[in-house]
Amino acid sequence: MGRVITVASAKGGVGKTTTVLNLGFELGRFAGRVLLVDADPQAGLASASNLRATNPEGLLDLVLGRSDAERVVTSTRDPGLSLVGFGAPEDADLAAYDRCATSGAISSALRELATGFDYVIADAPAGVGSITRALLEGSDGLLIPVQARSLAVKTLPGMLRLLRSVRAGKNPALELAGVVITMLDYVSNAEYEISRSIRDVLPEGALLRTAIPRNEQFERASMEALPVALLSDAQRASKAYLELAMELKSREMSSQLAGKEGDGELGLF
Amino acid sequence: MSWDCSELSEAARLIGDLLSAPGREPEAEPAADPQGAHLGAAPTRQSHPLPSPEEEALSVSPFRGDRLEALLEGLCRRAGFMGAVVADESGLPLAATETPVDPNRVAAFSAVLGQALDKAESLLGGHLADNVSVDFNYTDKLVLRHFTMDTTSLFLAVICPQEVDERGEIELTMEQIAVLLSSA
Repeated sequence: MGRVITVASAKGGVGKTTTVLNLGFELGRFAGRVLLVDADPQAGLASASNLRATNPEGLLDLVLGRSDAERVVTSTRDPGLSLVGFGAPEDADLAAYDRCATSGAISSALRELATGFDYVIADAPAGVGSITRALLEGSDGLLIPVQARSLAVKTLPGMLRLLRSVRAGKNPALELAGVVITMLDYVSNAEYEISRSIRDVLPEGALLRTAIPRNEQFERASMEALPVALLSDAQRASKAYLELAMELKSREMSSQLAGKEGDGELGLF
Repeated sequence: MSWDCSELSEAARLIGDLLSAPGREPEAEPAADPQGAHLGAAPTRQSHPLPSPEEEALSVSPFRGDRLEALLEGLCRRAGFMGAVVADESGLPLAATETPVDPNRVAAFSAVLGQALDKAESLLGGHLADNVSVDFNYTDKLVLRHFTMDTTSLFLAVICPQEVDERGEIELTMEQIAVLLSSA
């Protein structure tokens, strides 16, 4: 069964969906078969994923028992990458989806989907609500994207408290895969100062070295429904996600090595 | 000047708490709920999965050479490479997997190509010329990546099909080699 990583943040608009798509694409280039799962009712992931064909069935249909895992998985034009979209909800479906969060169906669905893939990357809705909690209950790791902006940073404790709560409850094996700075504007003095503070204050290993720059190529990729790496002139933007993918993979391999020497240590750190 | 933010400090404290209370394997999977019954019982997480050959070597052998070879074998299995060698700048192989050609020759060839990389930097003004790829028949290639550990020059050479994009795996393995050698 593959490693399940949920990308979640208490604040919206920090680049979760962009991170899921581009990180997944890059991991698929060298780390095995990757499945992206859109658990956000806004359903932004499917529209940007270079799909071979649209699939009206998605995670919603799986957790409501209207479909099965095989039918909801859609292949993309990239051989290493597949996708489970959110589905096409009616109004009543969204309330039922919320109820599934507490029933265990969402976390079970994630685990079921992970069979046959090396990585599952789930796109959580913004916030620390029941859907995000359910996703974390079925995940191995939590990746938190954060902008170097004060409002985004101020929401970090909320997400970490949720992680702590899930670990204390239904998923003691859940780990922090890392905090990644996204949409970083390198010429902004304020963002530079905030990003430096994040680096200085968070414990070593919590913050990923790779920061994702603000780059309009991400918007262009979104307009063309592609991972940014597939744009012909977006090397700089795509390189950041390749480096992020490599950093995560490298950490995973290091923790496997370290685990052999000192069982019981927290995997990531 | 550093930004003073109480929420950031709280985040650091929470991560510190997580560090001091490492995650553990769940004792039991939650029971399947009727609404999730169509999915069957939640898959049971393996607490002790069967070790792969390189994991086995890592756990069994205290020797650095064995660990290096285990890393290289893992690299070849994951990436579909035909062989890999780590050599020093004089062409001495430090570790090797089975390769289609004699690993000693690959190591020696690494040293020769390594000198070419040095010359590329100095003569052609190519900054940080650290890798070279050579197609040695119609289907396969040898890729050489130069890296340094402290002041020691080392080479990672892999043999793989020409259509393979090998860069990611090579970079990852290089980092692992650095971790392994620096911890020894």
